[in-house]
Amino acid sequence: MNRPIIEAFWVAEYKDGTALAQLDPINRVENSFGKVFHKRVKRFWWIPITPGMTKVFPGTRFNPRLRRHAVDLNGSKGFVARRTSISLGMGGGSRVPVPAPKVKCYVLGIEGGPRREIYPDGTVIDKEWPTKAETQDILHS
Amino acid sequence: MAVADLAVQQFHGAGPTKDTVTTPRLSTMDDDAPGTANPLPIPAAGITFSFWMTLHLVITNIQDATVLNNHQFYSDGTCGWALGTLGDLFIAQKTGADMGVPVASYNQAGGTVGTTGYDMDDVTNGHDYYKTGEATYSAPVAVDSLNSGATMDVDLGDHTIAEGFKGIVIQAEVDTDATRGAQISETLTFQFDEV
Repeated sequence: MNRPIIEAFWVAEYKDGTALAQLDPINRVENSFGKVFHKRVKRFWWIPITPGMTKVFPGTRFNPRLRRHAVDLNGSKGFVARRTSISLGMGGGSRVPVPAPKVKCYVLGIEGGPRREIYPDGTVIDKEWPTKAETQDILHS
Repeated sequence: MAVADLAVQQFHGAGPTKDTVTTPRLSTMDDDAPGTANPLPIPAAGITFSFWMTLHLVITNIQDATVLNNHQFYSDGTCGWALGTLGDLFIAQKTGADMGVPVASYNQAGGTVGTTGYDMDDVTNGHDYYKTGEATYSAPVAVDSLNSGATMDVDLGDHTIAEGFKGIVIQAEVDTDATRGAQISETLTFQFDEV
């Protein structure tokens, strides 16, 4: 089964200073997002995979164009997501190779509110963005 | 890694039968792998329809993923098929939050094999979930009106087990002045969020 190559992992930073990361390279374990205590979360992060982590976690890759990004929840419920696409060639007289699923972007934000899309080429797009005065402290790069 | 396994499956037959497809092909028969059999005839008059095609993005193994949602669909934005003046590749639509056909609302394609399929929008023989007169009806649109900047909301619901998302239904229409021969490949993209 083709799977997308992963270049970033999420971290839930709690209000008490602790954190739960998707990937724990020291213990070589992966945590499910279902383990996150949402009421305790202060920030969500997307952190780029490091070169060293690629040796611990198969299916990952270091991408030097990616930077870490976070969203401050300020009491709201946040989310992270990996947006993936599968493309098929439909047609015609010839058959084209089927591309593997690929990560289009990494998304984080506040449910029903602003969100940030982080693309593998380093592009960052903020969407559903209220006024600057309301949001200047929400996202950090 | 918390990465679910997914596939695009074509639903066909009465059951339906669900088959993974990598290069789906429209024809005038209800089959996931028609090959070159029963291609779309160019009509002497009127319009020829392909049998409509039902495609679902399916979670075949949830693995360690927690939730998948926000399923969108789009094309490469330009249909290179020479289907004639009124011909085009269409996709069924709905009004409302999302427009995909639920797995339970599958409707088998029909028509005259080798000649023409039923118009999915036809009030009598059309698709039971999408045809004219159905609740939250919206007319089909050209697939190439959908692109990465203008996607179709197929299924916005959360999926936490191995199951199918809502699907899309597409159909080609061929006019009398269509160009005979094999058409170039069109790219269909199924997008989703996962964590």
